[in-house]
Amino acid sequence: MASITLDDVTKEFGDGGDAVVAVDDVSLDIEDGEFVVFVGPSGSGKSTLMRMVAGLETQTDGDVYIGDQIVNQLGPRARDIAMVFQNYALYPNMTVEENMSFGLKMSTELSADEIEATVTETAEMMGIESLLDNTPGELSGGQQQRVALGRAIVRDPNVFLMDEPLSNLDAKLRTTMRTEINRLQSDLGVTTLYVTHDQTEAMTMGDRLVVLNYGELQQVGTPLACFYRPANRFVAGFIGSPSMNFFEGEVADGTLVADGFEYDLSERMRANVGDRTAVTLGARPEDYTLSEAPTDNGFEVVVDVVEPMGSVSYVYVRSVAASHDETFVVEVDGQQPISEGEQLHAHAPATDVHLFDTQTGETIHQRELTDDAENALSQPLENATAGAD
Amino acid sequence: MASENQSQSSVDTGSQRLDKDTRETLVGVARHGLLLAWSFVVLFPLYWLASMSLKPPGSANSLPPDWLFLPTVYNYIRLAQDGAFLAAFANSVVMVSASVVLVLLIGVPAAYVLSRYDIPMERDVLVWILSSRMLPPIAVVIPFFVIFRELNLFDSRIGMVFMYVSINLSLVVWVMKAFFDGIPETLEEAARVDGATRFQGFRKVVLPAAKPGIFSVAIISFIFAWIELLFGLVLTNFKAVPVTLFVYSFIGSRSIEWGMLAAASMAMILPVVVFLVAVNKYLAAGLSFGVVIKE
Amino acid sequence: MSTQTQTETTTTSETGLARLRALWNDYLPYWFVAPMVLVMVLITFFPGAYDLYLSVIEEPTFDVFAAEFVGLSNYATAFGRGGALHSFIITVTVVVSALALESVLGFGLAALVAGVESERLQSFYRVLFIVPMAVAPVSLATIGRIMLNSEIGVIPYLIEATTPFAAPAFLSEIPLLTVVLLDTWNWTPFMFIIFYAGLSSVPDTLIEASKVDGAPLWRRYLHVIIPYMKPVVFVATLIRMIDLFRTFGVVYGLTQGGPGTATQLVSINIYEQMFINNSPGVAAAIAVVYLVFVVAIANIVIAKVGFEGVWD
Repeated sequence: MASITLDDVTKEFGDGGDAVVAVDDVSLDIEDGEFVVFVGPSGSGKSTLMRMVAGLETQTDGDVYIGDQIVNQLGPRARDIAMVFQNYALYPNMTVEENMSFGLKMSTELSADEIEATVTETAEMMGIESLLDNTPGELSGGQQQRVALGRAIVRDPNVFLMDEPLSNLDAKLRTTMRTEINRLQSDLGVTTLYVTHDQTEAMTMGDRLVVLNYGELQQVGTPLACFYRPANRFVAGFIGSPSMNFFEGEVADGTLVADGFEYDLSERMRANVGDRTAVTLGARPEDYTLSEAPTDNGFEVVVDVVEPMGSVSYVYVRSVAASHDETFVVEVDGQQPISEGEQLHAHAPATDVHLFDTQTGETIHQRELTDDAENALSQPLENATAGAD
Repeated sequence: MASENQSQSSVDTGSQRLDKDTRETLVGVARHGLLLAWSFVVLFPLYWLASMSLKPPGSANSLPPDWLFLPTVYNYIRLAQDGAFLAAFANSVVMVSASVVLVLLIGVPAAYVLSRYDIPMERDVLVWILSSRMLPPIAVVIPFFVIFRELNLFDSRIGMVFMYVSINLSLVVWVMKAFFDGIPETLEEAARVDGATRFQGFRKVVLPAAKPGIFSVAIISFIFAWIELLFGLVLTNFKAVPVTLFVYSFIGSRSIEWGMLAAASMAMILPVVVFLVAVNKYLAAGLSFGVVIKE
Repeated sequence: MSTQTQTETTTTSETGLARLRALWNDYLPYWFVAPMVLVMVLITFFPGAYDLYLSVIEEPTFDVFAAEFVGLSNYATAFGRGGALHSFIITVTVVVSALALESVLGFGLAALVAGVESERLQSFYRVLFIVPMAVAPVSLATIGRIMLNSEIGVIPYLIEATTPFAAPAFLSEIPLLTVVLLDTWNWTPFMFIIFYAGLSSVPDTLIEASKVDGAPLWRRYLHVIIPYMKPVVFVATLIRMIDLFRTFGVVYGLTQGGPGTATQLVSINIYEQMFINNSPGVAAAIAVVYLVFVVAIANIVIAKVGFEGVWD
């Protein structure tokens, strides 16, 4: 087991004027036994960051520590890590058993008998003991996934690295494996880095999320902290599905004037906004209500499209007063009857709204939470800010 | 259910289908006729060669041909007792096999690097490699004729092995690069994370996965070297004579013994036919320098 | 130890063997390409340079600088007495006609075989049609000499026995056509097997879509299938063309360039200048022109059509 420390790590691809910065000066402390999820859109540098921990890429600048040891100069084989790849990367010409033994043969002094015993034990734990004599080509996608996991677990490494391991599975299997990886990680207690672009995996799997965009660290924190206390507009928009709605506007006399509506800022909001004028209002789809009667701080909208999801419906609406025809999303109860073309009043309470600095994207006002939720968040949040520094 | 329009059109398609059926039958007949005709073109010379090799001496080329004859292996027995033939055949087997091993040893690792690493001006490098195939052998062989005499490599198996390597290297590099391109890079990454060195990752994981490619390119290289005449003609005179030169020598110095010539040709062709059939699944990939991978 | 590259071992103070192992793995790509580059330099730059050298001297000597420089006189001889121009024309004629014949036949056969319904029959044809490639050109030439011989050949006999026409004297009256036909028999399989694989890789949906569009068969080939196969057609034709310029065995075995100089390909001409006339300078002069000629044509073809769709 080991902690991982990234110290001002930068990775550039190409050289000279053509260099592309894939990871930009990232510092991060990951504790021993922690399950950390790297999340971000494609090209955010999340995979590159993990590959630098693996030693498959060498950073242009900065240091990588595993435990107390600087591993900059070490190749992957010397780092005592195990990795699960998106395409599983099972050795096609070897049986499942040979696949699982390969790492032990290469990196340990264990005898053939000991290796066989270890492999059998792990295979039983993973429920793949009946597949040991098959080759990867004979296995289903789900079975290959289990073998890939088993191949990593059998090594008993310091660190697990998982690069979008579930993205090639169908939706149902993905749910099962998500739970299973969670259980395995907490049973084994091995420090785990997990790369994904999937919302649900990000929210449900990690102890902490590391949100990346354009190679830059956006926020490090628990999933709920990233959801309720986004550090900036990017995190607010990236975490949560459907995404938060954003409205750029101008603040004048305590009122935010956006294209299509005006919003009276509360006392606390005004204090947070200070003398900024370019402010973006953000509100999640589930924080809006649609009603027939006019409401305080609400505005008239016309329904464009309704997407019934069952328990809820996503309603795409457009402000009647807006000069453009862009829509935003409102989540309503699945049983609320709403039809396309209908005129309603949309309202997001002042307690649920975020405000962002339009220029920098920084969060200037966080929504309010219940006391319990606030307490639950405050503890890990401190950790997270310490880590993000 | 059927409006007038619909019934009208269904009658139309009905009559068309009748036409289509006849047309398809005609196409089928024409197709098989043409294929049978070409089969005959392919098989007749081979049949004639085989029958010549099995006819008793004297009747090999009698006209009108003896369509019915009692096959005899007399020519093959004579061939098996002919020291010059045996030496040439053994030479070819040894030299061509050695050249295949060598060209794989040189070409496969290079192809791996071309597939996996960022090479500056990669396309130009690949075209340069292909250009070695563009050079007509006769233009290449003259300098080597001079140099081999200086280096005592004239009429040596080593010299011939090198020349055979030279004609197949571009093929091996191109085909194997294409094969390696089809093997995901994460395989070696997994191996390296598992504790293998770069070389172990290549040898234990990538090479076994590329086996079909190696097998087919080996056989195709074998064939191209096996049928080569010019190098033997120019660079050997006694010790390192390949079997192609032996067959050619019937035409000049020997009194033409048709039956034995046919038997020698058959002995040359048959192993290659077996090879071709064995590799036929990957033949297109190999012959097209790796451009056509899918069968 | 602070090198830029990663090392493969944990500890750096190691035995010599481990050092060597690290050196091998750290610089693996260089070790891997070095032998190939060496051989490639030896077989591309060296022969070209040496041909060039031989072509401008009187007589090769042991000391390469002692040779007498004769300028372009070998080139003059080659294109005068040496009949180089004639053999270039013969070569281009053979290359163009054999290439055309083999491409058309190869494509036609591939299309015919691909349309066979029974899979077993299809693979039977596929295997049968590649067999001629197993015949070495020089063997084919000897077989040709026997079967086409005006007195004892079975083919002239069969032509005269079954048709009202007199059989042509293949080797003396139409030697060039005979060469082309033999090469076609030998190497149509090459085009056939590549085209067949290319045809099989055309997605069914593409063909079905064109059928739904009501395109007749020939349009389907011209506008859908052949454009889709363009990279395959390009590579097959390019490689076959390159190999046709290398043709030697079939002609040398069949006619040795004769009768007269009727089938004197450039390669035959060079061979004769070198080994029959003992004029290495003239042979080298033709070789230099031939090298430049073939490499230029191949590169023009590559530049014009390009490897688009072949790579990437």
